[in-house]
Amino acid sequence: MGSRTASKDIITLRGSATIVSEFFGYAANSILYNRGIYPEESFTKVKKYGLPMLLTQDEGVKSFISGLTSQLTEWLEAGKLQRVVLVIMSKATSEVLERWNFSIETDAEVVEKGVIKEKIDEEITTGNNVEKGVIKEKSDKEIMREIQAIMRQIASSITYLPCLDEPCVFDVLAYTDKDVAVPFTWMESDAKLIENPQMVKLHSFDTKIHKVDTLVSYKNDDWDEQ
Amino acid sequence: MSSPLMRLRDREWQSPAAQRFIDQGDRFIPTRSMMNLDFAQSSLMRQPRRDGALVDRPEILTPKEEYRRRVEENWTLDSQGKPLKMLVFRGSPRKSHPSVLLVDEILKEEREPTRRFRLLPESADRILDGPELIDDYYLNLMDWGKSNILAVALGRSLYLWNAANAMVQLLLTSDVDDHPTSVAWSVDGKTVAVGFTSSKVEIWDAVALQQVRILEAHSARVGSLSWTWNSMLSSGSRDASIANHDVRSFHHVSSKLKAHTGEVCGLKWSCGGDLLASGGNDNLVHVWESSKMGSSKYLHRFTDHSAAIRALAWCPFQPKTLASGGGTADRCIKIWNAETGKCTNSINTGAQVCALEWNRHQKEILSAHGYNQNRLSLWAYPSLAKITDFTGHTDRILHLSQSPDGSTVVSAAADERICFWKVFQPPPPCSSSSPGLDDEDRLLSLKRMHIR
Repeated sequence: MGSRTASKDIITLRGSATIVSEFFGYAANSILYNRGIYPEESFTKVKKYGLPMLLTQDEGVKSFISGLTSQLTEWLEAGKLQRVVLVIMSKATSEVLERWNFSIETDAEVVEKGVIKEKIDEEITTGNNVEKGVIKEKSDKEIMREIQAIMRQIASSITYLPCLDEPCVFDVLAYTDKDVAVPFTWMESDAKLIENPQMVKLHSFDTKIHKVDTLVSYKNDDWDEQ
Repeated sequence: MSSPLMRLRDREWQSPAAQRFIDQGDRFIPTRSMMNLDFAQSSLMRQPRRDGALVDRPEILTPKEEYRRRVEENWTLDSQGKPLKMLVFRGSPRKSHPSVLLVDEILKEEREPTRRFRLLPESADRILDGPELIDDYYLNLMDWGKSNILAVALGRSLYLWNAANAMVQLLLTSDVDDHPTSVAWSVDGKTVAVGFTSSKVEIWDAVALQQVRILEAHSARVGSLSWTWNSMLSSGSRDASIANHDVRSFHHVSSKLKAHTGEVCGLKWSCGGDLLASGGNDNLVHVWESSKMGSSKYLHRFTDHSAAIRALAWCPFQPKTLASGGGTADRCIKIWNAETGKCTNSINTGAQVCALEWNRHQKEILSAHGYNQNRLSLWAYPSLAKITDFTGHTDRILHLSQSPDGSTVVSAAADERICFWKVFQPPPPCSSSSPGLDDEDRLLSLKRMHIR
């Protein structure tokens, strides 16, 4: 470990927030593609996380997701985001069919201490107090591998999720701390829960500052229960 | 199979759709209204000098506050017991668009502070005699048409009272063993449909005062009627069925809906003509889609009332919002979202609810009550906080209808009196006097018709 260049392994709060919100952007795109919410033709392939990822080319969806991620970044940097949920609903009945749940655990210490020095200088001490930002280490590669695993799981989820055989729409919910001022583009909402859902836990990833757990819950298929 | 592009547009209806936002319909409206109201509210609060003005609604919450209050009531804690806020992303603000939605218009008007205060009348503006008005909860005997003529059935006769010049005309008198049980004006105000206890429905030309045709579709009295804009007439009967008629075609019955098990006493088409609400003596409310009238498959069935429902009213400013009121055993006004089929609010009024009318100029709803408080009540929407009561009738108030300009409400009660109330009138502009009922130009002028 000691032989590595230190600056590469350091993740700042801001960097972590960017990684996490970027992940949400790609994850949302991937879910929309894999669940067929928008037609295949409106997506193009890019390489990301060592995987071919699909990104929507539809201007409306694009601007929606970019608006979304920029707000999420802001909240992540402030450590005020607890959870992001992508809800897939039937267009006709607004019935919630699937919830893609991303819970976020933020390292409170990092957020409180605020600014993290980009450069580590372990030796700087003033008096008897050690004055330095909290520094968490984890290599980019490791994080990327974890995200890659989640993305693979999202893509493979179509094998067990029930078919969405009707036109669907999606909503994005954010669970934030109570003291967050509601931005202009957001409004308070109910949880849009699914009654008696099936749940599948997916992999999680951890930047050492933000830990993201992924869970998909979906409508119980009455059909095979009886 | 439609082309992929069409599918995309189809699905975009709710989720982001930058270019197609304007014609997307209603999905984005609540967001805007919430946001704008918040702004309006805060700008109002910052001007305390208005406190001394005519504040006739002190404790009433704006929809935003009401919503917040309710969210906070049902506050949830996360797994660690930490309070949290749930937010939903609604895309980027689209300020550049001209406001074409009615709600925007309403909100714009609401921001003018003068619109928030108005004097409410203490007594009826005008009282007419209504001898022999049948005291029957299940009948709908009065309707005020778009041509500004009030049709009211008194005993065996149907009278037309012209609100512009107070002239009365006798339209019809039925046979001795028969009497009108329901009256409804067509949307254009030129035709009036009359249901009878003998189960027939007559269509009358109100200009020529001539009968146009007779529709037979039921086996018992027809207590409720409702027209849509495209000459479709729906009739509800004591035989528990609802018939849809195309009054222009020879075989007029286009479909029959059988889902109620009691007399259908409330029937209302929504403003857009896409949804039909029916209320029955079986304590049920059904919502039907105009596109799926072929089968007796309803869109929603509301079972929350515990008495007959004859009071039904669609919200004129919020699509797919229905208000319903129950009878003596129920006494509740309930607000429904016909999109989701959920009850969004309910209030026990303490009296039989006979009729409901929405205010088209303010977010308010007026209810008429019978046993045991014979009064009209004005409620704020969506909080359902009571604004005031209007008393004057001495027996149960059975019928309500509002004038074409939405300023005046007429009530007919079992005390055989017909009272006119200027409850919905917007505050008059400073420079001009308020219009009288005998001033037809003013009354029907488009300037005053904020919504339609």
